[in-house]
Parts: sequence; structure tokens; C-alpha cells
Amino acid sequence: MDFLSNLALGFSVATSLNSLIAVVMGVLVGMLVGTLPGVGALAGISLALPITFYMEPTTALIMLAGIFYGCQYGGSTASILMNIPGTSANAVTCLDGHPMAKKGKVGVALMVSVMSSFFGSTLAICLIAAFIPALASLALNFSSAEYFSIMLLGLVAASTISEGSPLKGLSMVSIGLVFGLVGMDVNTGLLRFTFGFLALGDGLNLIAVAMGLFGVAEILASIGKDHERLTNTGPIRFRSMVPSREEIKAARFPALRGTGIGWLIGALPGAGPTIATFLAYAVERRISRHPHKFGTGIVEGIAAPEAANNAASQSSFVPTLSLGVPGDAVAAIMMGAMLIHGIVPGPDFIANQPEIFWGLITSFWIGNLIILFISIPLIGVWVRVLSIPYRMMFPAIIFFTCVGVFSINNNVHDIYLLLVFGIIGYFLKRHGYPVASLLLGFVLGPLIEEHLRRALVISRGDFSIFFSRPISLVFLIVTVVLLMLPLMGVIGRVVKKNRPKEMNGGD
Amino acid sequence: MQVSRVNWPELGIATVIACLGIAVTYSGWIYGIGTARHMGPGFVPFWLGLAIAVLGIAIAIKTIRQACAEEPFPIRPTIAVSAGIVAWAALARSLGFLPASFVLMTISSMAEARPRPLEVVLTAAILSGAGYLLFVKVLGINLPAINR
Repeated sequence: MDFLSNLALGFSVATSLNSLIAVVMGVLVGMLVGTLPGVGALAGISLALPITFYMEPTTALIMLAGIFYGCQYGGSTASILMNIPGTSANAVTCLDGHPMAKKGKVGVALMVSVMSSFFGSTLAICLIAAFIPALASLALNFSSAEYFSIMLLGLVAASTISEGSPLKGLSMVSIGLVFGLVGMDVNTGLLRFTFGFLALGDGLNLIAVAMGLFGVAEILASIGKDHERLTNTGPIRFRSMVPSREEIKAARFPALRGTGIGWLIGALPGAGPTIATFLAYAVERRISRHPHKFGTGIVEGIAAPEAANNAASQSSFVPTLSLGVPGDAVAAIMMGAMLIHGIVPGPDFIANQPEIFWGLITSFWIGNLIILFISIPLIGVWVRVLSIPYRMMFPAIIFFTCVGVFSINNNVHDIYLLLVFGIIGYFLKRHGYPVASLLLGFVLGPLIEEHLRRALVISRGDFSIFFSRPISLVFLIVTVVLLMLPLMGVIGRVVKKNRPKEMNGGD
Repeated sequence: MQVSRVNWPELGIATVIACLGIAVTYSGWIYGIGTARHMGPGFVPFWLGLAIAVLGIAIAIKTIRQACAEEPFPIRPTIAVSAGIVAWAALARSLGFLPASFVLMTISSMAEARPRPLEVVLTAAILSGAGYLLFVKVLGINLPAINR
């Protein structure tokens, strides 16, 4: 089938009534959870997953994906209005978005954010529609050696590129891998790490782990902290939202560059929207003719990161859909959701189920189009939502979390698991351990073990199979480079510390 | 001088990680490592455990002198939220969805330093009802409303 007929197939799936309802519900829920500080795409998707059990797989995926990218839009609202990022991917938007709101240009800030988001997503969707099938047909030749190496690359990238200490990232990934191995070993039937609990035989429940680490842990960290008051915006009129011609001109190229950066970073295994936004903002400031103006509320500082995070959240589907290897924690949850619905993403998926794949891709664009039109009228609603005090919000979030986790297997053990992971997650977060890496390791654990086993069976126990195959070798070289970078950083810092002693004496 | 202070929380977590690694390695040994050609169920755990242990030790060395996080541990929220969640898990089957949910939300509201009783009770009651309609009536979760 050629590209156009694929697209037509996609549109026919994505414009069916069920899909349209699903996409609208998805983006609404996504924008809502994105707007609420402390609840991100991960928690949103996990919460909605049980609801989608009653849907067709395609409809379900369309809705869950809608939550994901809807979140990136919603997050910027809280960033601009309250200086609190709705999701971590919108943290950078605070830097210029909030100062702009304080200057009384709330409308323009929101509008620029929405427009650049839409621009970034649309371009990114076109790119993934062209790129995923090509990558998937390449991946058809992948053997277990390549899969093992790319998963290793993804895990190392996720732990070393992310914010914070790479050592802590690596420890989280490794512990996540061990958590992934809990349950019955598929090859021998041996129960591993179950400590006699029969309920753990099928492994730890993904949603309970994710909701614990990202839902309960976040609530524990947020209770009792006074959130900043909402900026008094006054009534937002459409007239006040239209950016001036200069502002559009200023935002144009930053949005384009942000899209490029976001797309690339998002498509890499292990790096997600958050890193993309930081990078896009840094690049804009570097190449700008007036870098000192960044942070005072200029449109460039909103356009670039917003385009980047939306492009990245679309392109993070690339490794998941083409290889079946999720690139970050949110993609890992999406993949978990696909598996629960009986869809195994990977090279065969596009060939065997083109209607689901193309329906999903087209629905991305339809979803973004819907957001473009509803986000401005809905801003008043989000403002009202943001004014609900947190003390009324968190019991409700805990309640929905418990019921959601329970409903997956109709089982109360998962709720205790949720609590345990919530407390673990709180401690880890408090001390700068990236729990997203843990979740990625958790999802990839069984996969990476299986591919390692298969590769070594084929090579009769010879580890050189990973180095003799060129694609696998490339992945491994990149992995080693990523591992070396922080090490070099450490060496550099040690050298610096020992040399100019008098300069460090001050602190 | 502050430099000589040991960062006990960081050291504690790093130690737990290192011990976890050793325990995982030991389990791998027990499960059977096998050979590279015929990996036993303990092969991956054995090596992963070693990696975790090494990382734990490395983190301990790196963070032992770092400044402590000043934030106090949120004892009250942790207890209230935990008690609420455990209560729901324990009561949902025996008492039913509505009472369990009501108890969950009232108990976890105690996480706030100064809960407002009327607001808490009203929110909990309304949300329990709404949750019942959504999850049990619409989505068909198999739980009774109130068990007699």
C-alpha cells in the first residue's frame, strides 16, 4: 500500500464516531491532568487505563494517546498562570510564560503556547508517519542481538541523560530491571523474588507500580505545601490573545527549531519531552541576538520549549511503535497499555494491523486540531480548576487511584503494592533518584532478559554476537559513550576541585 | 565546618541499594546461573545484583559528604494517606464500595494540618457517590455498594 492509501485508511478509522469520541475524551482528560500540578501524563494514562478495558483496542489507544499529548498542552496553562509546571515537560515554559503573564499579556502567552504546540505536533506527526514505517521495515531484520543492544542503549540513555546524578539513574534502571523480573520465569517456571506470595506469580502490576511511584509519591510530597496563588488575570478576551505581528515573527523560527530539537530528542530511546524543552530553550538563548531578554517574558522563550515538548511527545512513539522498545517512562506505560489490549507493538504490528497503526497516527493529528480549537475557550475552565484547593483535590486523587488499581485485576493486593511503591517513590524522589528510569527498567526487564537469552542461544554462548553485528555494535558504542560522558564529567570536576583551591574556599 | 558532616539519609538509601544488590545476586546464585549458552533463571539477577551493589557503594561514596535535604519528613501525610489506602483495601469487599471510599477520603484528609470537618465529610460523601456511579454502575467493577 502506498502512503496516500494508508493515510486514507487512517482517516477512515480515526473519523469514525467511536474514535472521535475517544479522541475528544482523551484530550480533555489529558488537558485536565496536565493542568493539575503534580499529576502528569503517566498518572493520567494509568488512571484512565481501566476505563479503556471496555473499549475496542483502537479506540482505547486513541484515547490514551490523546491523554498523553493533551497533557503537554494543559501543562503550559499552569506554567503561565501560576508559575507551577503542570507537568515536568512544561517547567521551562514558566521561565518566560509567567513573567509574560505578570506583564498582563496572559492571553498572548497562552496563545503563543497553543500555536507553537500545534505547530510542533503537526510537523512531528508528518515526520513520524514517514519515519516509523521505514524504521519498522529496517527493524524487521533485527535479531535478538540488536534488540538487546538498543534496549541497553535506551536504559543507559534514560539514566545518564536525565536530570540528576547518572549514578542514581543507573541504579534506578537496574533496580527497575530486577522488579521487572519478579514472578514466574518464562523458561523454567521458577518463581523469582515472590517471597512465597502467590499474588506475585504474574509479576508486579505495572499500573500499581506506576501509580505508586508517580501518583501516591507525588501526593505525599505535595500535601501541606502552599501553592502559589493564581495570578489575577482578569477576564481573558479573545482580542487580548491575538499576538502582534512582531510577536508572531519572533516566535516563528524558535518554534521551528524547537520542533526539530523536540522531534529528535523524543525519537531517541531514553530521552523524553522534558529534556527536549530544556535543550530547545538553551539553544534559543544561545543563538539569540538578545539573550539577556530571556526570562523576562518574551515569546521566543515560550514558543521553542512548547513546540519542542509537543513534537517530542509525538515522536516518542517512534521507538515504541516501530521497534516495540519504549523510549521513556510514559511510552513504557503506553506500551503496557497496548500489551494489555493484546496489541504487540513492533515491526510486525504496522504490517499486520495497518488500520490500528494508521488510525492512531491520524488520530494524533485530529486530536491536536481539536485541542487547537477547544483550548482557548476552555482556559476559563482550567483557571477555575486550578483554584480548587489542593486539600480537596488529593483525597479524590487517592480515591480514584485506589479504585483504578483495584479494577485492573479485581484484587486488593495491588492496592498494598501501590502504597508500598508510593512510599518507596517518595523517598527516592526526595533524594534525587529518577523514578521514571526505574519504571522504564521495570517494563524492559523481561524483554531484555529474553533477548539476551535468545541471542546467546543463537551464538552458543558467544558474547561476540553483540559486537559482530554492525547495527548492534553501533548501539553498543553509543551506550559506552553515554556511560563515559558522566565519568569524564566526574574526572573533570575532581581536577577542577584540586587545582584552584583558594577559589573554592569561599563556600 | 560543615564538610565533616555525614549525610545519613543519603548514606542510608545507598546502603539499602547496595544490600538489595547483594541480596539479588545471592538469589541469582540460588536460582541457578547456568552458562551463557543456557542461561539459568539466576543469570540476569546475578549480574544485575552485582551492578546494583557496586552502584550503591559508588553512590554512598559520592553523596556521603553532600549537604542534607532540609525538608522534614511528612510524617502526618504519610500516615494519613497510608491508613486511608489500607482502609479502602481492607473494607471494600467486606463493607462495600461506599463506606470504604468514604473512610478512605476522610482518613486521608487528615493529612492536612488543619482539616475542615464539614468540608471533608461533604467532599468524601459526594465523591463516594459519584465514584460509585462511574466505577460500579457504568464501568461494572465488581463491588457491592454497601454490604449488609
